Amino acid sequence: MPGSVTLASRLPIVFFFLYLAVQIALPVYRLLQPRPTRFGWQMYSAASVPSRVWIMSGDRLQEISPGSYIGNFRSDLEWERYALPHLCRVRSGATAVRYLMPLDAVVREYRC
Amino acid sequence: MLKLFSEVVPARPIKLIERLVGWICLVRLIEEYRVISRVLVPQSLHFPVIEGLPSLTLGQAAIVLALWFGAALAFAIGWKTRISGPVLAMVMGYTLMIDQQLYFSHLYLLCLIVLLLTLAKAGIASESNFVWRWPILLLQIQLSIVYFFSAVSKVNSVYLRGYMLGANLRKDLPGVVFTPRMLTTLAVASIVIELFLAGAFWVRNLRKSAVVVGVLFHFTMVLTLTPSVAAQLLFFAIACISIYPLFFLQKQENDLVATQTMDVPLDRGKVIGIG
Repeated sequence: MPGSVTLASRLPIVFFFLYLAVQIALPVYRLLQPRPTRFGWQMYSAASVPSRVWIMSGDRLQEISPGSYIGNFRSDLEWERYALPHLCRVRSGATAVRYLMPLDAVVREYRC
Repeated sequence: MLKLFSEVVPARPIKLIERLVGWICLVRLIEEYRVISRVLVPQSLHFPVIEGLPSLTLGQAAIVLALWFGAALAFAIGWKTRISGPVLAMVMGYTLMIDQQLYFSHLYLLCLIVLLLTLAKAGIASESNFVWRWPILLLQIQLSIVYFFSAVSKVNSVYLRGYMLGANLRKDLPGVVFTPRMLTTLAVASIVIELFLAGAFWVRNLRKSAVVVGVLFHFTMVLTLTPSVAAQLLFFAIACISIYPLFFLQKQENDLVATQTMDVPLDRGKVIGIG
């Protein structure tokens, strides 16, 4: 019926504005969070993974690859949140993990 | 504004883009298999995208990849795209949520492209020569969103000091490229180019320049960044460039639509031809 407004005819309008709202609001929200993160088009914008990592076992310090135990090492992984506790779990005798973040001058330490 | 939702564009260029994107999704499956078989092994650490969302076993992943293959092949050959499109977008979208190691921006973009291309044909007879314009407009806006936020997110000290480029550029490039001043210059240039691309496609006089700049920009990245990310950059390049032709659709006020075989009323529709 010409001129009639049905639910089906409104769906494209609703989808259009909802899609735009999500695709603008999500990257804006992501910009306010520590970079880089996902779903914000932040390709190669920063790195949240360390450049160097050491395992401390008592007095002994052993350097390991930052990508150890990681199947696909990406610069936007939440490395500090997930990898640090994991390294403490899998490296028997580890008392701390020391790591150097990109362009940082100070080595950080995570106690196991 | 509401007129937009009754406007249509010729289906032929959209179908060609659909085929291209389908084949890209199919080839992309090889990369997904390579990465997923390294990420989902028990000795690899799990990085949840959403806390509490369980990971997959390799056996379950095989089912997901088989679905991906079937849907991508169907989409690529234009068979049952109203079903294969949503299935493909859903399967690829799901893999983005399994693990942070499986998140790729180009895959996210491919999901959105497949979804919007499918919606362009929603409710329109398959033999019709036209598709809806509003999902095509969303695709155009999506491209600008990608370039804009990619540029803005790079405005930080790590990127501007050249760390990201220094870490990702091919190591066999001339040494002068890796000097701090040159890395910073390249970092600033990449942000300026992305900002230009975010806006230039919307300016009639700049559109052709934007195509040249965009193609050169993407393929320079593919050739100069480290080979380990070259495949991903190539997928991203093709995904972005596949949207470029949509900016060359021109409005034609005529009555063609009324003569088309469509199962929706389009008596007041406008036809947008490709110029």
